[in-house]
Amino acid sequence: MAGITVAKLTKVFPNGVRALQEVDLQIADGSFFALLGPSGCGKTTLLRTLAGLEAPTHGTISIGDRDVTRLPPGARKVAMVFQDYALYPHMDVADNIAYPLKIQRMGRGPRRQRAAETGAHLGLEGMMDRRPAQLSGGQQQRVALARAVASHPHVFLFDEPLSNLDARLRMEARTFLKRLHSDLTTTTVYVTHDQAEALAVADRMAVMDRGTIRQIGSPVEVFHRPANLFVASFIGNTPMNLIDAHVVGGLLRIGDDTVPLPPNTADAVREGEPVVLGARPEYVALRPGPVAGGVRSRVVITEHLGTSILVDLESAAGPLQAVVAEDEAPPLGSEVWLVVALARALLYAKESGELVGAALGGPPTQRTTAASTATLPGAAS
Amino acid sequence: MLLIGVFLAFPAVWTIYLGLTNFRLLGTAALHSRFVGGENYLNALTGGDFLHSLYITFIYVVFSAVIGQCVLGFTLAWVLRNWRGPIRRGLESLIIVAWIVPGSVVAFLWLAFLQGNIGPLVETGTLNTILGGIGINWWLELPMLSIVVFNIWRGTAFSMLLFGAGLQAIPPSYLETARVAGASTWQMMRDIVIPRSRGHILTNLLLISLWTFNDFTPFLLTGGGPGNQTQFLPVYIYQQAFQQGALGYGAAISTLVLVINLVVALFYMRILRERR
Repeated sequence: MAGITVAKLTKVFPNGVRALQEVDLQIADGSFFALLGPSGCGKTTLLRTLAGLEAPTHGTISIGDRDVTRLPPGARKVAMVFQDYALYPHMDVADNIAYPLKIQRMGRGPRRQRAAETGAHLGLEGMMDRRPAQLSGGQQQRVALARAVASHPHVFLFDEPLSNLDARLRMEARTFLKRLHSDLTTTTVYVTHDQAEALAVADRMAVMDRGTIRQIGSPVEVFHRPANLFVASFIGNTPMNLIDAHVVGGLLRIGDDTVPLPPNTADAVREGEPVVLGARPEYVALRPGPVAGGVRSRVVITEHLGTSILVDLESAAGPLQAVVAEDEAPPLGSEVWLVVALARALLYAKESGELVGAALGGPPTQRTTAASTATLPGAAS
Repeated sequence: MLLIGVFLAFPAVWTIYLGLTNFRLLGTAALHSRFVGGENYLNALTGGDFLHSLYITFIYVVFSAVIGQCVLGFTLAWVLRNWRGPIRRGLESLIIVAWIVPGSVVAFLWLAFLQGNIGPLVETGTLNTILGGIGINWWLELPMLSIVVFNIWRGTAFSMLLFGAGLQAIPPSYLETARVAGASTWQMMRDIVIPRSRGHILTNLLLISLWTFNDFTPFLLTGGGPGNQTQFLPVYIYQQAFQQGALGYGAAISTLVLVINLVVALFYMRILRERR
């Protein structure tokens, strides 16, 4: 068991790419920590540097109270699960799981015994003598996990372990990983580009962009109060509406429309300052007629999402999106007024891209769409 | 089919037939060859020359192909696998040049390279010039070693290229998983690289064994000598059939070589098919 401390970690590749720039990070002992970001943001490089597969250009890494910066991978007591699982095709399942134990010079009998026990714990009973090629994708993934678990490492490092599974299996495997972590309470670092996955599994997460960490927090914090425009646009199933506005007379001027400032932001902005109003499509409502504080827009496309409908809008402030209940889709081409739920809206400075004021963002108290779906079941459009 | 029959099958069958006669290039037997049955084979297998040639050919194959080319080629492929840029390309080109330059040209270069100080009229070889006063006459004093080194130099490129392709096919995550588990280079070789390269290793061994076994270039270097120290089987056949004129005997040995080749090929293919 060990926490991880990363200080001023910089990695410059020989071709000049700066994959990590002065990254500082604390990962508490026993936590499930997600590194999230678009491809090329440095999250995998950070993970590989933790594993010792890449040597940092500057900076230090400590696991527990040991400085491991210059230690080879094998001396760090970590276990890594790769995206492709890296199961050895010429070994059976038990030998695959037991391979790290073989390297630790455990005898063949005891290590295959431990492999069988670990495998059974992960739902691989009766598969010990099979070859990886004879297993399904989900089973292969669990063999790779079992190999990591069997060596009792201080830290698990997961590099997009679920991205090779199909959508349905991924949900199952996600729950499985979460349960495994609560059983073992081993510190876990989990790299993913899928924000929904990070929100679902992690108890803390870091959002990365171009070699730097843009926000660290719990999934709830990161989802409800993205610290800057990058995180705001990256987190969320449907991208957050980021509406360009100017502060005019204590109000937000959006095209020809005027919208009140979100609560607790008035003191943080200057008159005339260009700002960006952030509102998730789930936290806006559509009105068929003009209303005060509404943004006039026109319906371009509607997409069915199952229990809700994603409405694409066009406005003077650019394209906007709203999620409405499945029976509330406005007709295509009609004019609607988009009303932002101000209590959940956020305000960013246009220039720096940083969050301004103490807007709450906060978790929703009651979703209007959910309420109306409940009262009108089956009223399909 | 007709062309294959005329140019491949007929000479093969004719060789087997010749091996059963006392056909000669010159003399009465050239006109009136006689069917002698297994006499040529009996002579080959009981006389010392054939068995001597077989033995030194075996030594030549084991040291220059199996140990030299295969091991050196694998080592080079492993070391070069993560190199990029001009150094790698330069080194690769150099090794491949050794492989694609015609045999007679290479033989001439090596003759010049290893030339001994044999008289005032002959220039001293490059190696002896570099080494200074030692003055070993490589081709006369260490003919086997010289030819083994020559063949390793010449053939390593092929093994390197084949193994290079094989190593490329091993996903990096296989080795990285092992490294994170603490495996040494030797353990990664034993547990992952060699089992994963099995097919490449066996195919390579099959090809370079047969090529070396049937290699005639040593004749250009030493003419089989001094004495019969480098009289490998292809050289022996050539000397018997065309220099001595004993075509029937040469054909019989050729047939034996063919059988040996077949046995070697079947042996490797058998192992190859036993892949788990």
